[in-house]
Amino acid sequence: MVSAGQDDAEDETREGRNGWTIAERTTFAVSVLIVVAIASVAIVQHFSRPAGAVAAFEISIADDLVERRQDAFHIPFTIRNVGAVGAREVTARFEVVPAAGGQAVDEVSVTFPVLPVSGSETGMLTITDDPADHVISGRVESYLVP
Amino acid sequence: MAGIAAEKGGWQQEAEDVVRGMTGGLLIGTPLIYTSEVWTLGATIPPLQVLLLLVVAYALNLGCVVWAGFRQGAGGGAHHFSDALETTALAIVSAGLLLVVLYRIRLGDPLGIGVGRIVVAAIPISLGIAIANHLISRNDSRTEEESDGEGAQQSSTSLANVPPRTLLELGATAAGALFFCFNIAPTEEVRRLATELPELYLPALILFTLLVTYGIVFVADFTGQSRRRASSGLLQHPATETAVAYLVSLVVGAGTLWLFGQIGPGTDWELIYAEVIVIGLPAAIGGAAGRLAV
Repeated sequence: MVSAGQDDAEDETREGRNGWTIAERTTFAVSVLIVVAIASVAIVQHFSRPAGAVAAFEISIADDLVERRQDAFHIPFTIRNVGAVGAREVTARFEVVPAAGGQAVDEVSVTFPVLPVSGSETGMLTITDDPADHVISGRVESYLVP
Repeated sequence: MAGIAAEKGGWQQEAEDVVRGMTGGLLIGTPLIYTSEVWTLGATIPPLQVLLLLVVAYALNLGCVVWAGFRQGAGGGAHHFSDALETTALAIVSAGLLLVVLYRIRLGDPLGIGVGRIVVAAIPISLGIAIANHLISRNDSRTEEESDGEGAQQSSTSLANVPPRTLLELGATAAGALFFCFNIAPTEEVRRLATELPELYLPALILFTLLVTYGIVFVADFTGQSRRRASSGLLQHPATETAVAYLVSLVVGAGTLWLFGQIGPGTDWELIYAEVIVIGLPAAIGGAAGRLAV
């Protein structure tokens, strides 16, 4: 059994679709805030990006944190995107050259699926030559930008 | 008094619309969020393209809202524009929540990455929200039994006490879970998520999964909700049914992971646990959809 008051209430609720109930107004206001906030971040990011922006990378090799396990040396490294655009398929190439000079005795390539702006990834190089007698250097060989 | 009651009813209806929209969106969008391409694209997409995607999402939602509508009322006119905006916002919130519990948005990430990933993931979710009303029929008249009023409810209740009904629902849960799992279990994303998720995120993911599936079956006003609430069988209590269905989904998830060689006797048990919890979310969502279909 439905009371007259409940009937009125239901009618007013249904009429809310023609007008606006407080609940609908609140949802709408919060929705506007959310969409505007997301759009604002994108707009600010777009205008804070310099024209002709490119990806740029910084590779740091932590040769003071070398770990020796059996006959291999494990060297942690970090690659960071310090440019203004994100990059995909970033391939870094590391070379191991004798400290006395000469040709590279070892080469390692590592590919990272994605490096967003200001993003960084860490990895571990595994080589058989003693890092104490060699110079290890890394550079980004290739990458894709969206 | 009538005004206060109307407003209370208005809030309740609004909450139902929001929950139904969000759960409908997760039904459609969850499998896509389990792809690394979405994470990669979201992290590298230029800001201008993020804006373009937002506009496209709004336009698509507007079309869907005009066609189907995600609210219970008739709406129309200016309401279509506001509904499409709310659909977009709900998708942003749903995508954000899902990406946070899956650790695809982390504290300390640059803001642009989070926004990019949310917007890329929000498009399919928003379509699910916009067509939530058409996705699965409303509560009122899916089956003959339900449309016959109280008598029908009693009939359903008595049916629910019969073991075959429970078996049917468990079977539907397993079938729905299987449907979602076959799409996700063979991919490398499950392993990747399982290894990257911090341990404390796993209980949060379990809780999120239970809340979403409870929302789909018992709050969103999809098919059979009133019958389920009225049923008194052992597995028909909302909390029990949600928990048991989740367990069934986990078993199905584990089975498909094993079938595709993602886990096996040699796999570390912690990794197995994490992988099963990770696939448990889409599996349980599929299971909930399966239960709505019977």
